[in-house]
Amino acid sequence: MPALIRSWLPFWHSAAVPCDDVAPQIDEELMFHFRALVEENLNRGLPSDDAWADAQRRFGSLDHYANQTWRVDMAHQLTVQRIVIFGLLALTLLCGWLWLQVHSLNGQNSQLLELVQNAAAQEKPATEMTPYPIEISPDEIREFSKISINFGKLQLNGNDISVVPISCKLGVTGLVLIGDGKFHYAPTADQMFDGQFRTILLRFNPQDLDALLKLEEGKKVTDKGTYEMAKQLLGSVFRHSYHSGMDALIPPQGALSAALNSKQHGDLLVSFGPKEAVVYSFTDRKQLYEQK
Amino acid sequence: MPPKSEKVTLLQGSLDLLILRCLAAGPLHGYAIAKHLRLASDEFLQVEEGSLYPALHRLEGRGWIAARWGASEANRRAKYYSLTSAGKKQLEVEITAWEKMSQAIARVLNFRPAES
Repeated sequence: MPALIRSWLPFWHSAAVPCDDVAPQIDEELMFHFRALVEENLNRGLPSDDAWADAQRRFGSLDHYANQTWRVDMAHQLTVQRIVIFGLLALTLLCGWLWLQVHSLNGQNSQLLELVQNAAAQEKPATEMTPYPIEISPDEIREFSKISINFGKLQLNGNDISVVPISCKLGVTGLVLIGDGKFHYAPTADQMFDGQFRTILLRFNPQDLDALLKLEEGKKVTDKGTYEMAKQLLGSVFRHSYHSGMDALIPPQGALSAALNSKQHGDLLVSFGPKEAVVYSFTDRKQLYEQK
Repeated sequence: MPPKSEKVTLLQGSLDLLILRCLAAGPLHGYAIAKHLRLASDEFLQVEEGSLYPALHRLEGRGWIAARWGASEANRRAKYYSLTSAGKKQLEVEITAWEKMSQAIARVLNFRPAES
């Protein structure tokens, strides 16, 4: 048995085994000493009564010393037992907390995971879609005094909206809209999502740009502030759909993904294609609508 | 041998050092430790049994000495104490601390303020 383990055996043994035999052992140890003192005195030539009396005088109270020694032993035993009990209790609490964390995470993530898995099953495998690096420019920003977008079952309306085009090799594949506006999405007659938006990231097929918004109808400006805001927004929401890292995957024609921030719904994702649709709340971490 | 009227009070903590030093040469039982201290100090140090055994059990609790029952020279059952590896390290620490303490005390005792 390794020396390190052997050296720790007394520690665990004293923690686990009741110490009923400590007091008798102390008595036996002290009695041995007392008897040795008596023998020493006898060997010095003292008569037996004197040898005994002298040993008693030198040794003192056997009961008192036994009690003191027993107290030292008990203090050590209790310390060891307390350490072991406390350690086991802390370990139990830690295991319980970890189990709760894992259980809670599993519950939250399973819905999102199912959503992502369903979306992946509907779309073409990522390996069949080519990612394209994107770019935005402070010099290509468009100002719209009035904007109206009606695409699929999504309607966007607003005044004084700044539009930042997201370009790739195939053309404009996205728009960042910054400004106060309203959105309306009604996937079915009895299901509607309405609200105000402050920012929206739209992702679409470049061939659908003209059906969404005629960029040339907006006033072209250079706006570094709006550019920085758009850059920040892309950093946080670009990965919500049709992406490969920070490169763009091109949605099929007729498909649109809108990641928006609204007063009513918080951070919302509205994504639809020719056959499927989903509305997901990132704020509440739950799916609000799905069509397969 | 000092007069019996002289009473020596061991400095606090020095009993631990003396016990560890005694056991450096090999396992001893409590009576042998007390006798060794008495003889080695030329009868100057008379350790009280009331201090010795609580100290031995305290050192055992700290893991610096280990105890086992064995047979004495007179073939009686006795509890022998021996130095552990942790105890050997602690002995070195205690000796170093003691030497520093005694040097510091000597400097204070020999200190003479500079004469103006």
